[in-house]
Amino acid sequence: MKKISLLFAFVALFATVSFAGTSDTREIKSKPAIDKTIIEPFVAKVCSITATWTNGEGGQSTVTISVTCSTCTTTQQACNQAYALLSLIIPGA
Amino acid sequence: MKKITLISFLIIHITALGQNYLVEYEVLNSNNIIKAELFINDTISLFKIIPNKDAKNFETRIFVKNKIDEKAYFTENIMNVKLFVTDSLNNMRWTLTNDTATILDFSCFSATTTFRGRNYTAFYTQSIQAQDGPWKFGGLPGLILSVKSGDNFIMWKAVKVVSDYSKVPELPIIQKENYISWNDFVLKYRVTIDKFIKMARSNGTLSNEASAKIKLDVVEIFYPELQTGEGIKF
Repeated sequence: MKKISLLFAFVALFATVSFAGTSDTREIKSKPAIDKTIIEPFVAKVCSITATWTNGEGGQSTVTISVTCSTCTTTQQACNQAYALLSLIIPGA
Repeated sequence: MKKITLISFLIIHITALGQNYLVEYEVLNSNNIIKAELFINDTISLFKIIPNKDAKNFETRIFVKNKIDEKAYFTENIMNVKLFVTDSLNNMRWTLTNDTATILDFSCFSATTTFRGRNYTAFYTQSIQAQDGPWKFGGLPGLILSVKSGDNFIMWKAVKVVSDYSKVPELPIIQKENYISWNDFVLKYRVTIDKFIKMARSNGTLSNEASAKIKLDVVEIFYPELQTGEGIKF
């Protein structure tokens, strides 16, 4: 009995040693790269323009046009629209 | 015929002097002070803004009250378009109140009214028997020397009173124009704003991805959607 156990032990040892140097053919998938860039939400650009004049009662009268532009990349683009609107209603402004 | 009658009336009543007064007012509005003059006699009064010395492109506006036909004649702007407008002199319903004040050594009594969207408190003196005052104000048993809006938007305050004023003021050149009523002026204003809003989108001045608001601030509130809150959004 002792001889049979010893024989099995040798066989197991042999198998372990035999397979120790075998390359593992499993495909190890790499983990997806994490993009650490902070993405800020897009802020709509707002511009307000006011025209002022003195009225017949002596008071200051004003008209204000405000433009909110969701696709403008600069405030100046929103202001350009506001100026253009003001010129529509007060030509020469 | 109406215009000829108006011209003749104004010429006759400016030259035939009775007891005339010249009152200088200061108009306080939005941290701004402007001087104005009110010429009064028995049948007409002329209210004129005096431009500041450094004012550029200032257009003189004269406000005429004809006490015989009980109408005011003046110019108004719809943005940069000038219109000639008439208005009734009897638009204000006053409530006499108990406050008193002394203005330029005149004892004054108080009264309140609500006129075109604003509440006003006036102080008038019975020492000057003219149911008159600055701009459209009048109808109290004495000359109004001070009037202020309850929201502090605007105030007119007399700073000088000259009695027996003999210098005849320059007659405003208004007789050739057609006058529209105040109600017609308000209608025209609404139409102008509506056209502007439609044009802003249709001709591409306002891009499809943008929105806009327009807000007007003037003394008389006659178009609440345009003049209160954030104005009109489009």
